[in-house]
Amino acid sequence: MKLTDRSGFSLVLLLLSIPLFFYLNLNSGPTDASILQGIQDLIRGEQSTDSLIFIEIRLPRAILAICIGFSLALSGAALQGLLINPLASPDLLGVSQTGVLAAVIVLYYGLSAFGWFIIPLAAMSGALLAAALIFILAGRYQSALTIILIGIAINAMTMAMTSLALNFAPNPFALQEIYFWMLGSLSNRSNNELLFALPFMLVGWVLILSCKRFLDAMSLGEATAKSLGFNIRQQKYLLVTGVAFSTGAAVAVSGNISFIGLMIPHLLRPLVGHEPGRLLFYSGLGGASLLLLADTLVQLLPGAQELQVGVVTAALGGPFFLYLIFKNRHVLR
Amino acid sequence: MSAILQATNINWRIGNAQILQDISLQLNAGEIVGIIGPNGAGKSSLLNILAGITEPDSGALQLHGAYYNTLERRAFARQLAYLEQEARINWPLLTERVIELGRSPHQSAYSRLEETDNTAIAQAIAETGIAHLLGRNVATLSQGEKMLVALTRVFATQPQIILADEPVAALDPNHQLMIMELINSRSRNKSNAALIVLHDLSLAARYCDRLILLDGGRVASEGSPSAVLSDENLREFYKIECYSDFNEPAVVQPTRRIN
Repeated sequence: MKLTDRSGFSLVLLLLSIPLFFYLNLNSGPTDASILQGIQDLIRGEQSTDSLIFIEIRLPRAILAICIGFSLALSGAALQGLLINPLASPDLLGVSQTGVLAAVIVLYYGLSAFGWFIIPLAAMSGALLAAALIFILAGRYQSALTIILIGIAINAMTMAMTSLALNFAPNPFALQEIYFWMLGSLSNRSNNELLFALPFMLVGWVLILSCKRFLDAMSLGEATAKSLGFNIRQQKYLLVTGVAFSTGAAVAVSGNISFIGLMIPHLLRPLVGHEPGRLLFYSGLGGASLLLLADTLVQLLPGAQELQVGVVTAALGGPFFLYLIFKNRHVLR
Repeated sequence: MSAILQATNINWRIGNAQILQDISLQLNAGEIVGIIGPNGAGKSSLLNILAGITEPDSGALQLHGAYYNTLERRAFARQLAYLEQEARINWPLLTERVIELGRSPHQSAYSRLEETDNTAIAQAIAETGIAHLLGRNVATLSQGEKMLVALTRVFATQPQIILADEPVAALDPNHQLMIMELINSRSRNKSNAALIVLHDLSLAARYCDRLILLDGGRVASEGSPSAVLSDENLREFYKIECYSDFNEPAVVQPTRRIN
């Protein structure tokens, strides 16, 4: 099959999988509720348990899964294109974890009382700070390897500091909370979380997608991209801000869901080609699809307590990811 | 002849190292100028500065009399194209995707390839004769083929000036001649011009109208190939002796090292 056929095929597949997984996601949950019944009640204007569960719990959760999956995978694809390195992703570089740290500090030390916007704002500032720090520390001659190593160090430090902050927080459920922030979860999310994260994620998406052509040009290296008329500094700012906005908003409501940002672009490259710009939107769709599926599985698995969704994304994606690396090792150089 | 590219008193340093010192040069329409010099003379740095990729510490750069910093980036990129050493391509892209990138300066952030873009791309492909490489993954191409693809990308921009950094350094003799001939035939067109960093002195003598010899970040000698590649200059700056013959086709073959 030619690449163009394959990319059309995968676009169709992605576009079909999202409504399918969306439906499955809506239909799964800890309580038995008929979603169709809920929708019917809603249309008739009746207040029923089914309609309440649908509109207050299931729907925001499923939409969040789509938006967060889209944000994380889009950010991963953007960072891989910017650094010209397949090892980059917001969680690997510590961008997500720094966002988590900021959210945790704000949330558990009472600062969130100032308003609903404080948590996503803190998470985004944290993410932005991490991204800025990486680029500042890497200095003027930024090799991708330096940037990734700095990111890994920041990730480890902020992870430790998050645990520390949670331990000292006046909160009896610290251990459970650590799980939530470290592995990520979409349980117990409501329309409030959706509404406060969505605008920031949208801004991030627009910023990242506006750099599509620049990322394509970066395939030829920074010097050539510059000679092709791109304002490297401005494009980098746009991209890093976009990643911070979408990743920050995502982690503010779902914790650090790992692996999606790293994995999805890799899964899609054999199907849609390696052009970094083109990969952006496909990756977003792929991330949305995978997170919907993972969040559905989390709810279907039996157990006293719901599994963190990050466990499933890594457990699902890991083996497939390894398979792809082995299959493509000659291409990856 | 009028200068289309002019550099005046360019200085550039990294830390304490003065890489370029008081360099002035000009490029005229219809001309191919070669920049030569031993390793570390500042050739690539100079080319980067002329291409607008690096900013010099001091000095003036003008394109058609307009200072670089007054020109809009993409308008600048439409007139002046840069061919990087080794023509690195970081992802295993299809050949045509790489060539299409040459149209970036003509496109806005969201526009698609239009009729004029496709015509320019088709022309460039016909000019370099690489239609047989279309549909190939660039990771599977030889170094010579990669350089041809990169040159096609540069041609697709339809620039007036081409700045090339050692475009033939890693190529076999056949590809060396092919690349030089392609740049040559395009630059002979009245309004075009090229500035090429070269290590191969024979190619420099054969294809360039003028040579600029850099040494230690300064212009050591400038003029016709036979004047710049004089036995004295080769001895003083390259520390070599050569067998030279400037009749067509010119040959400058190093024969001995001088200590």
